Amino acid sequence: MRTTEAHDPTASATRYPAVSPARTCLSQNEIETLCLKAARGAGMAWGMAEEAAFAAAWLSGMGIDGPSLLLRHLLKLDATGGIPVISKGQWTATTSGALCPIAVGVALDDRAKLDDGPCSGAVTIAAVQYPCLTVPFLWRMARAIHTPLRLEWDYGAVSIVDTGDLDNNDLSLLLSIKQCRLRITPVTGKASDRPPVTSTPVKMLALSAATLGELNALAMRTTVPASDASRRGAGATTNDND
Amino acid sequence: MNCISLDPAIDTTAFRRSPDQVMRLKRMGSAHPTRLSFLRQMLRRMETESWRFDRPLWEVDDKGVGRAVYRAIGPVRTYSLVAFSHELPDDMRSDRVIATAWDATFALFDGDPTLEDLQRLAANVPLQEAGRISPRELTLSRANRSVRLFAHVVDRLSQGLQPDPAEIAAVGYLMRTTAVYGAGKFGAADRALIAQRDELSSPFQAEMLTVWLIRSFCADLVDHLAAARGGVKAVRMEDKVRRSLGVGNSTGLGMAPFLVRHPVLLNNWMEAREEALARVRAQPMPSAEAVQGLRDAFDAFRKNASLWRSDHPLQTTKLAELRADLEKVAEKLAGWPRPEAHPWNALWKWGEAELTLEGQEALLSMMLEPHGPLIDALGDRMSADEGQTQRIDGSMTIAALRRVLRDTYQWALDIDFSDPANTARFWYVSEEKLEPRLGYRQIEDGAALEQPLCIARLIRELHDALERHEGDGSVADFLMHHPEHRFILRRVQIAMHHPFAEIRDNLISAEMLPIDMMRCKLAFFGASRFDPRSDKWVRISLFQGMPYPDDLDGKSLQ
Repeated sequence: MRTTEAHDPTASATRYPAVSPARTCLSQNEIETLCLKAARGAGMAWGMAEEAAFAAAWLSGMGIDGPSLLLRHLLKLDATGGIPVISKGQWTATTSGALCPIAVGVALDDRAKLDDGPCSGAVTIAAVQYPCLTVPFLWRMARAIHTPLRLEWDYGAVSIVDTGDLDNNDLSLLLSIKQCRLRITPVTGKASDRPPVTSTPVKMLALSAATLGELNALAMRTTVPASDASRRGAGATTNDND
Repeated sequence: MNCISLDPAIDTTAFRRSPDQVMRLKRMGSAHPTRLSFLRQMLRRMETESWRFDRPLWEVDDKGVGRAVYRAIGPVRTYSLVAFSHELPDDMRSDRVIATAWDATFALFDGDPTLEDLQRLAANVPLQEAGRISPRELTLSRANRSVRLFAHVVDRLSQGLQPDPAEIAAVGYLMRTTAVYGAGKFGAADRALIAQRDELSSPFQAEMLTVWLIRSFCADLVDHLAAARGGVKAVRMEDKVRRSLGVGNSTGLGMAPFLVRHPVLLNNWMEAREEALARVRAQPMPSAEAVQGLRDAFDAFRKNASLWRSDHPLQTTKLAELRADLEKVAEKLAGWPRPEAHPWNALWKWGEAELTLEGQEALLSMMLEPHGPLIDALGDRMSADEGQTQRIDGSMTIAALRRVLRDTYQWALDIDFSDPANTARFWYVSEEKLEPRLGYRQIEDGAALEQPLCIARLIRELHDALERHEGDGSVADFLMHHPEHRFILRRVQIAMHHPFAEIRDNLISAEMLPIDMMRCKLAFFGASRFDPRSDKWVRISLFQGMPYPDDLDGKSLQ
């Protein structure tokens, strides 16, 4: 899983200015790294934070502001509805809140090859918070398992073919929804029956100063204030002017 | 274990080293560069493809302040190093990531930069971390002078004299880079955008090209400053001297976690190198040419070892061991090969029995050297598509998962984490500079914010959670109730298919030396002359004794 700089000889991170007058263009790697730390800082387990970062970066690649969406979700993480309860294709929350879209996404993907998984039969999820964040996992699963999927919500639907293509115009409809029911169905028709799709070329995503600042504030929660001992320990014990 | 032979023509099974032997920190910390190292791969390609090189821009004043552009022109694409040269007061010169000014700053531009590009870069590159670059740039880097040698070389050349060879030997480089950022850092091009290009598909090729062109810049700069100072009296640096200079690199803790964070990449590096060694060991009686190739490699190695200096006790001990080992190798080679089925394997087995880890890993490097046609293509296997998110196979049963832990992670389960010495330290990221650091759990705050680099202990925690887990459900069910184990479970599923993915040591023990991880990675880069400044900080040299772009320019060396 690409969670940090794949081919970077260091692991130190970008420090973004606290207030930037303009939007900042971030590379996919920067988005993924920032979102990983922010998700961890917001309280997600490391493995879940990796998944959240994947989702945000994948949406960015589709030209959708995944980081801002993830930020909104992270700020309401405490209100999500715990561990999903699964019964005969119906997924419900254990508490009153809507389910976490990351937890739902990975649980669906984890169950891809299981009998009660979304590639075997229709799955209905009672309520998902910021459901657009679940889509990257459906994309990943459809591609890996070679099973096209259809995702429906109350006012729309999107097809995810097994090459992993999907129409990001459909997706942007889902972007504005704060919470809704989702239904995922495996598509069994022949290839020619599947809807044609158009993927929009990827551009670098420009993040607003507010999103960047808030994600960064969450990310900083994973860091430890420096002490004199740690500063001393990190460097050389000799002078660099030689 | 899925340790497939990468060339079906040779059965290397009997000649392979096991991950338990290879993936120990002490051995990794004795690694030497080989012909599969990334800078060697880059030089081979440029030679084979007859790349051309030039310097279309040189605007540097008499004080050494200004800008320059160096181009590497390949069969398909051109890459340009944009260099900015600054005036830096001594009191601001620091190799630490916390520095804010440098003697020179650089970016590797994808193509030919326009004047607008140069202006944009001039406004950002000198600021390094505080600036922003764009997907047109592949790397961002900076370097500081080796104050003493730089001044000596300029002084001598300006007087019409060549530098003192002893001074050159004592340092070995005019400048050392203190960071070479790539892969999307600070707005640069993401790895995914360039990974498909032949010339950049091997690991760290853009970074190696950056450093190589920086080397040219350093050599040109001393000639320029000597001419400015000495006028007609000044001479240029002789080729022999020039060639003996590399680019220094100063590397701290920031690099150490890389190998842990990139298990598939680490596996692919190690697996390729190990396969190369196994192929060589499997060879029958060597040709006279191969025997001579080994002797040449040995001579070069011994010369390098004699020039290798370090004052750090960690390294002086290892250097003494290496030099003693090399004398044993010299004796051994005098009577090698004997008529036997696998002389290379016999040599290797002898080395395992007689040499220290430094000597064994040096022997590995020497044995690979005369076998280009046999092993060079393995370089193509050393990158990893980490952009593909590693999915978790949730259909795996808990019983199967327990088996994998026993089979692949016994080394981790054998560690006694109730002993405080085995949890003495913790990895964290500092708020101040966002760089990785290593703290002592008992005396420093911040262990609650520990980074997940303590792989062995995470394995122990997963193992214990599975012991408490009732029934034999699926991994999917387990993870739904235990998201805290998702991180390590993903690694377990990676390690199942990648035998060299894990460093098989406790990364939070009191005895762990971070420089062992750094040396392993730097050896894969092609670094030599490892000179630790502490157990967390090492200086090295890149490209020392290797050709310059103008040596290669449009011609094949062989």
